[in-house]
Amino acid sequence: MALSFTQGYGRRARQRSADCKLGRMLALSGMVLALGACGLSVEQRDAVRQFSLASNSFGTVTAGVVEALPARVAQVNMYDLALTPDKDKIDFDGPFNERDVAARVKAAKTIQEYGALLLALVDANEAATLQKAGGKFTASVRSLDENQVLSDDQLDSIGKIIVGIGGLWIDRQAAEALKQIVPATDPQIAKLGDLFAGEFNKDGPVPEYMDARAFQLEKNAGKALEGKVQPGDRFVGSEALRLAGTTIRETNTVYPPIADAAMDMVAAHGKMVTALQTGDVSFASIRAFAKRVEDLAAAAAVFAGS
Amino acid sequence: MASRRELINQLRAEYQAETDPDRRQQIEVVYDQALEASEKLAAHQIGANTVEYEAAIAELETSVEELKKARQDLADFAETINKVATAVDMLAKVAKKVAGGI
Repeated sequence: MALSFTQGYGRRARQRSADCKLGRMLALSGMVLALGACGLSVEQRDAVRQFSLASNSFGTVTAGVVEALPARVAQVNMYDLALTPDKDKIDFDGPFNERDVAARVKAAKTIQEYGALLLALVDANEAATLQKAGGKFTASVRSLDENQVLSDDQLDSIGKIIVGIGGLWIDRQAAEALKQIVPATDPQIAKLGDLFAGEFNKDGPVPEYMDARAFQLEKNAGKALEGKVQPGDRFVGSEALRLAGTTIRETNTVYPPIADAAMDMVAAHGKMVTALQTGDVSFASIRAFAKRVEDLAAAAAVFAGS
Repeated sequence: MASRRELINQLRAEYQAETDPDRRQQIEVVYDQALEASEKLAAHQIGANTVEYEAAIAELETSVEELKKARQDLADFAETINKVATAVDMLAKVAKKVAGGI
């Protein structure tokens, strides 16, 4: 159908106006893109992501090891009691009463949660919600634009701009939150790292206590097996000896790596703070922490349930 | 200087290697005393550290709460855009009905 001059002119004018508006929106999105530069760089994101995953895993494994301590001590003490009937009393859980265990498990789980939240923040994009919003805007404009001044491509661009601007704003806000919260958390991570490192290193009180109990059991089991005992007692003796051996191996294999990983966590967190504050990203210590946690998880898995 | 744990390991090795019953009995007395002392000192240290853990957790929890709030703020921001989009969509529908004489 042919258009009259006025119809044609009016439509072209509206089209020009629409193009102009779209151009302005694109320019605006360019400005917001520049604003997006205030977000995190790819390296900074990667540093936060790697630390988050490692600290989350460190918290999970350490909480599991600590939770198992009272049961392990109780097992050792139970066998020791069976081998030394003249013992009048025994403290089954040793120093691992409810409050002591709860404090350490909570500390490990808080580190785990901290890691998970860092990851949630660094990977926050709210893409689904923003896509929904962009789709609604596009649909609204399309339903009002009866003269089809804006083409489908132009309408889709508007939707994408809304999603893009929203996404960049979220990136920027997430980066600001991380740059503010992570450096302020450094002293607390250092404190908890020092506590775990101090307690679980090879000369720390946890390996020392566990070794002392296991050595005592080993000695008593050895004496029981040396003779002068009934077949039933020999069974208890050999089970006790096996348990003592497992406890000694676990003490040497699992606990010191917790201390090493805790120290690595402190160093890696410090590097993450530097990365966020200066943009100078050094992955070596963050990767060393991740590797250490991987080794710790493998060592702990060997003794889980033993 | 050797650590307590190293000294105990030394005593353990001596005890296990000793074949003379009398000498072994003598070492056992010292070994038992060392194990008991080591156990007590370690247990005391573990108990004392608990208070420090509790204090450190309280401080770290503040950061965790701040991170949770920051994460929630981002979700709220996206949801606000979505709400605005929904409102615009509704207005568009009303405007269309009004223009069409309902």
